[in-house]
Amino acid sequence: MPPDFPVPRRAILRGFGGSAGLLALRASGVSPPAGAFPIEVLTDTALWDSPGFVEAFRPRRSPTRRVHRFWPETVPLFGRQPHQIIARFQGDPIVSLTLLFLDSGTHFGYIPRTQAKQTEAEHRDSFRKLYQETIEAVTEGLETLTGERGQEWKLGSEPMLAQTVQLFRSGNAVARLHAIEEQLVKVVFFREESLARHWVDPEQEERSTRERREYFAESVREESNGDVMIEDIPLLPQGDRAYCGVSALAMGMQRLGLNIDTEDYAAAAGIRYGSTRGSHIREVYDAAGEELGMRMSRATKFDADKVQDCIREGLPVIAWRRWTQERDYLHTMFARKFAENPAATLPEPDAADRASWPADRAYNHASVINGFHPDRGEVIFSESWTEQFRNRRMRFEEMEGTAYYTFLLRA
Amino acid sequence: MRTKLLAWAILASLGVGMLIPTSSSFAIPTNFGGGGFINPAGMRFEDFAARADSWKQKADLKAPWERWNDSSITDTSIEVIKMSLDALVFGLPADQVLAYRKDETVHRFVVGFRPGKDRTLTDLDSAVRRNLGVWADSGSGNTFTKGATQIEILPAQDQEDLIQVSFTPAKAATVTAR
Repeated sequence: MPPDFPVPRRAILRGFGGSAGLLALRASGVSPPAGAFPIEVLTDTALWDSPGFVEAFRPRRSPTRRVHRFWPETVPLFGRQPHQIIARFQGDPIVSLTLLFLDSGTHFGYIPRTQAKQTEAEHRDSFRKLYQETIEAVTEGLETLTGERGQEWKLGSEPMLAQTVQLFRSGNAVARLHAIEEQLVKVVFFREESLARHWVDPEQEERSTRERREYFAESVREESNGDVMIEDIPLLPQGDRAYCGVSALAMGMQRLGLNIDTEDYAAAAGIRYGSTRGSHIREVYDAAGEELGMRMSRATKFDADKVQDCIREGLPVIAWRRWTQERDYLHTMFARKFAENPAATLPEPDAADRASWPADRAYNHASVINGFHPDRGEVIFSESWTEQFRNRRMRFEEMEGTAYYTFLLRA
Repeated sequence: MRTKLLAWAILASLGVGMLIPTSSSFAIPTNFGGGGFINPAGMRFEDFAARADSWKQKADLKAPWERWNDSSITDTSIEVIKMSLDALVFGLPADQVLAYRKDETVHRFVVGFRPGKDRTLTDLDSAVRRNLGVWADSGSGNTFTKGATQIEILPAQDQEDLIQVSFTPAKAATVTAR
């Protein structure tokens, strides 16, 4: 049996106000129960490799090396209740731990545009107060934990994505505090200081353009069934938030080494009080491309050839498309059927089928196109929902008929 | 908060989508609350109806139901009940979901769909057939099977603007209707 993750008494008392029962569990060699977050990990990254700690995150398994996993319970830390505790894995090791204390989208959930003004008017004062209380408590907690005051650091080069963060030496970890008024309070703990100081993977920064191209292309695999797929796109759940556009962006760009999270993009785009009203998501897409030293082009017509070229180069494509529950059902059920029977085929795009495609009055949604099958004429796409919605299929014709923007990266 | 997260997790796991109505230029989706039957049941109605357990005596019907009068039923030993919640069935909003029970055993579910203002009955019929066909294990025409259940698209009778889909235990299923 692998060694248990140690949970010293001090950690328990600080994290949970004195759940002494955990001590007995530790003494008995049993892993800490779900929900008991051992605060010691915030100052000792060696504990990040402890099987008991690693296995506590959900989901336990993922088809990708890059994966965000979630602590199964919300637990108080620094006297506040984070929305989520997220471990970012890259292969086996955890590369960072995020304590998401306050995110506007998570706090408000999805707010329709028609209710955006009213929501802001009714909740502005209380949310500002909550933000202030949260940032004060988290800053104080970090200072107590680390015994130092934060060092200011400018993160990012693109104005839309630039943030002034605070860096703390936290034992052998580095903590990065993000605070964006009325939007976001989070702390990210890193093993490597270089990761904390950049949005872009340091190795990626060092690569030449040619090396980058080679690196991206290495992620493409051709399956025995003819699917051409980009591997290792993390699934970043948008949850009950108006974040599909920014989650899809984060999924695609993290694959390429730009480690900006959904919540950072949402804050940059100005998705406020749960609504996309007045936000600047397209501009954030442009900025994300620039931040990575690439250009994000936006096409109003889905071009299957260009999309296939991008995928073959290892560059995920994002489609903003019309969406209906009825058609989504077909995609969901077809994915289920295809998993059991790879010979299954989507309906022919005849007149009757086309009549069922989402039209202008449908909802909008963003999906990541991460593969295609040239002979079947299908794009393979993934949603920012759960792993169940990875690698769905749609015929080129339908994507062409329902996508209103296609975002393609160019080196 | 936990309840909200749990509800989201259930809905997300069922593929209850993300969206935003888009009369304005660009609006980006969020999770779409499915509501209705999915919330208490944790599964789609059609998946519920395809399970062998749903045909067992005293099966848990997962949602609130109310007594209903179906004038075509003359056998007084048959109890007709109507689901009190909304349900999306085959990705389409059901007009009503009825269950026919005898001796505390459901022997038939019938789901009715109406086209509403924005579509024709023919279009709705195509949509039901298309999505049912993708969901089902096998079948064509009016008859399909899935799991322990046979599904049949019923011919329109007295009522206009109504498409009805009947769920009954499949002949090969281990549980049979009474």
